[in-house]
This record gives sequence, C-alpha cells and structure tokens, in this order.
Amino acid sequence: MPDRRFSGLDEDEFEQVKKALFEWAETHPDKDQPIIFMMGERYSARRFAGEVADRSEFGVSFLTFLVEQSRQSQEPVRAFINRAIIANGER
Amino acid sequence: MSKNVVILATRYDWETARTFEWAKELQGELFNYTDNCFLADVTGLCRGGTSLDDLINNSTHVIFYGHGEAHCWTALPGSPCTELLGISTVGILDYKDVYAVCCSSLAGFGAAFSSSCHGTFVGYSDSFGFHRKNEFEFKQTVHNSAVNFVVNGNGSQVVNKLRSEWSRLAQEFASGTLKNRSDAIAAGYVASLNAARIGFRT
Repeated sequence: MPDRRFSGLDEDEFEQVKKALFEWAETHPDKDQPIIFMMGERYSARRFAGEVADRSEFGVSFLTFLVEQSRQSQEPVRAFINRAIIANGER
Repeated sequence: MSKNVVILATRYDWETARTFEWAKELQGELFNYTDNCFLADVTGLCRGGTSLDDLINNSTHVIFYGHGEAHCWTALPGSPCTELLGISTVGILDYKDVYAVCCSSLAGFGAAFSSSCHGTFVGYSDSFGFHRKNEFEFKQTVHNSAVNFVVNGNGSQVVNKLRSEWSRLAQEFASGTLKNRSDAIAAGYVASLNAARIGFRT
C-alpha cells in the first residue's frame, strides 16, 4: 500500500497546492502528453496533478519534496508552481 | 590496467529510444578513456545463444541502458518480460564492474551480483526517471557519472558524487539557475528521486 501520510502541509495549504497544480496542468501546452518518464511509468501534467490530488505515493512524495524546497529557499510552496504556470505561457 | 567497456542498450519505446541515444554519446566520450568501447543494441537479445557471453566475456566494465526490474535487465517488454540478464544468469558478470541506467535492478539483481560475483554494481533501487523537455541535464548527469565510474572505479565515490549531483540538479530546478524552465519543479522532483535511489553493491 502506498504511504499516504503527509505532515508537511495543512489541509488548506494542500488545497491551495492542488488548485495551483491543476491550473499548471490545464494551462500546460502538452497537458496530456508525457512530460516525465520513470522508465515504464509516464506522467502527463494532468496525471501528475491527479497523483497529488489523490495523495498517491508519487504525489505525497512530490509534496514532501516541495515543502523541503520551500523550507530551504524560504519561498512559499505556491511560488514553485507559479513559476511553472508562467513557464507554460512562455512556450 | 586495461579498460574494455561494453555498453548494452535496448530501444523499443520512447524512453529507451532516448536512452539509446545517450548510450551512443557515452560511447563517443569513453573512447577517450578506454582501450575498447563497444556499443551493442541488445533489443530482444536473450541468453539462448552465446552472443551475449561473447560480448561480455572480454570486457572489464558493463554498462546497461534500458528498462529493468528488480530481478533483471529487460531485453523485451511483456508479462513476463524477456530477460537480457537476470538473477539466474548473473554469473556472466563475474569480475566485471557494472553500471545500470535502468529501474530497480540494484534490488534483486544487484543483490544476486553481490552474493555471486566479484566486482562493483552501481544502479537504482527503484524507478529511474527523467524529464522530457529537460532531458539534456539528466543525460549529462548520467553521462558524467558513467565516465567517472570507468575512469575511477570506486563504487562508493561514484555513488556519493552522483547522489550529490542529482541533489544539486533538483535544487537548480527548484530554486536555482534552472527554476524558470518548463515544469522545473517537476523536473527537480524527478532528479531528487534519482538521488534517493542510486546505490551500489560489491
């Protein structure tokens, strides 16, 4: 069973991140094309956002990474996703 | 000490088509550091004949690019997959230094290598990944590490350096010089997974 425990974000923060990730996915120029290859598993932007929303093992692991990067760089978690949304518009 | 490298690579889907190109590029670089460096397309090749033995027999280093599972390197996909090499055939790698650019083979296959072979096995304990639009940085990180492995040969040093490079790349995508790239945070996440999963066995 995937480990769905996650303690880095409270529920409100999780909802904000989820909303931002869906915005990133929906504005992605290749939203249904694979962007990540795990040598067998392929993730489109939509699937990526869905994994986070479902709190799958992959999604929870991403959130943990996001929170750690936020802590290290002193930036809010939303800032990382905002940059990705802006990058969508620049392609 | 002579260095005779054989690079085994498959190509039968998008991912392996890309990593096959990585393997070709690595071969070009390794000509600078080796006595011989042979690249073989081993798609579909299994242990029915002696071709694979012939390829590996005279090598000092074996590098694999393709799909893997915990118990094997994959020659062809399927359920079950066609094994290129697996736990029951790991003996062919005795006295070789092995570098696997594929998913999961450090687990069972690497463990079998450790218990029955002399040499070093570097690989990933779970999925290995890369980001499509930022493929260059992923390829270059693997490429530099594989060269380091052949040149320096110390598994611990190679893995520590590679783990550090994957972590650095993760941070560059998240908040460093690559932070404005397409899907940078997702690319950084994949690099961080690679950092957590790389390891070696002797």
